[in-house]
Amino acid sequence: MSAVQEKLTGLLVSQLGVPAAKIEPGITYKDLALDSLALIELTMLINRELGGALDDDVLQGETTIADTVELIESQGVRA
Amino acid sequence: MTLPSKGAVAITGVGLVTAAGLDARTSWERVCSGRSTAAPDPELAGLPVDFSCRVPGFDAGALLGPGNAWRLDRFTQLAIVAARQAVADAGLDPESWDGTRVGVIVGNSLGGTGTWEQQHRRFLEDAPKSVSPLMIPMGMSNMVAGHTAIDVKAFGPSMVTASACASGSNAIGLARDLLRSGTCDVVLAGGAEAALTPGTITGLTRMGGLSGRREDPGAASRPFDVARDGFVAAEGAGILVLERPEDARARGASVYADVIGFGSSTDAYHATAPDPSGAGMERALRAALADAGTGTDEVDHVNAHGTSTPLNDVTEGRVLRRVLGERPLVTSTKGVTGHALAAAGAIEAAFTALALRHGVVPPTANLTELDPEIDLDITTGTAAKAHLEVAVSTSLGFGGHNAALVFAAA
Repeated sequence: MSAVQEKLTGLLVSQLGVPAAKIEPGITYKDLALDSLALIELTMLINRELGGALDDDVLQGETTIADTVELIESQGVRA
Repeated sequence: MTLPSKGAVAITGVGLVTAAGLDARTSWERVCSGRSTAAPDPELAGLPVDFSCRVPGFDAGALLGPGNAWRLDRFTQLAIVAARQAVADAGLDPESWDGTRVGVIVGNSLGGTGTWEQQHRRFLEDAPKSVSPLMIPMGMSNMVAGHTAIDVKAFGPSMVTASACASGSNAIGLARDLLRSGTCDVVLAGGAEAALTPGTITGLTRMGGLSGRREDPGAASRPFDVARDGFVAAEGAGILVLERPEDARARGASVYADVIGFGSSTDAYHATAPDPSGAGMERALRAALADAGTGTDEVDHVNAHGTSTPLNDVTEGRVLRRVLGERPLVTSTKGVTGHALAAAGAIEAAFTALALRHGVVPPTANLTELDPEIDLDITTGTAAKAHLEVAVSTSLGFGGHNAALVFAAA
């Protein structure tokens, strides 16, 4: 697991109460039962805690954990 | 013996989350012990008033699920937990009830002050994009009713009553009317408040409402005592399940007590000071007694608003003496619980119902020397066993809101 994925998992578990066991690269936010407000909260957390610069509308229900890690890493963040 | 009026409603479930305990039984036992819950509050450290009556050991994540808890301000969390307790206590099941016939009326005054304060700090210190998208849905006061309705699948009317410290009592009065009118078959009614935040406590301190007894917080909430100097802010939630008595008895429900009368009035005198004549409170109390068909000489017990502020207690004491005489055993449970603002009326309605059920009047904590201006039979020291048939709970709020409820033993 990359450092970014580890940190993203940490945010999902500690801040949004997502069960750790459900988090794997291919799962979507819809499957994790995160609605649009939760995804903006997650975006804010990623930007604040990981130094990302994601726009509020980037994370969608169909976005996966792997997609998110790629997005964050594409911004040069290595956590 | 006072017969319940045809407009009575039955209390079939009680849920409490207070500084005195995480459920109704624990809260009641602590209140009957007469030991104050006021204590230094780490979240208020460094402020001129740094103590409160906080709900101890409330684990929202464990109780509501971690994926749910973070989306709710604390006042909503407290209410949902109290509502679940009340529904279970009533022997009702949200999975099987007709939710279209269930209403939720919850008193709240200050909304999600913790959320507002935290997010405003982020807004000022960081950037607009650091503000949570949940700020509004967490902070809005109505969300306590909306989320409780979601949790228990109640599809009938749901709303918040906002009349400061009379909110919880007014919620119960409004709920009674929804049952009386046939709009609902079951109503969850009560109040919730969680405003022990630095900004709110500072505001209450600046207006001179709070006790400043920092050296001895446990002695700070002392209703009717000559040395009282203000109230101790508390948090908590109280939710009652109310039904028409005939419905409750038809399904074999256990009834704590009946709400047999409700009266509500306004001082229209001053924003925060009570009308010293007590005329507004007297109107609410007399209206509630008339509504109940109860004589002023029939009240056995009063759970008074009794905030421990110099102004409230003397004004309220005079009205109670003037209207009810010297007969009732009076208590203020705020000596133990502190003042949970909009939740207070609901929490005290629950304690009044429990007093009727158990035939026990809890003592007024810290009342060691009665204010000579107050001439009432106030229970002090230890809880008093008594045969109780009719009881009254009073609530008065900033804004001049007055409410009184009359209860009868089941």
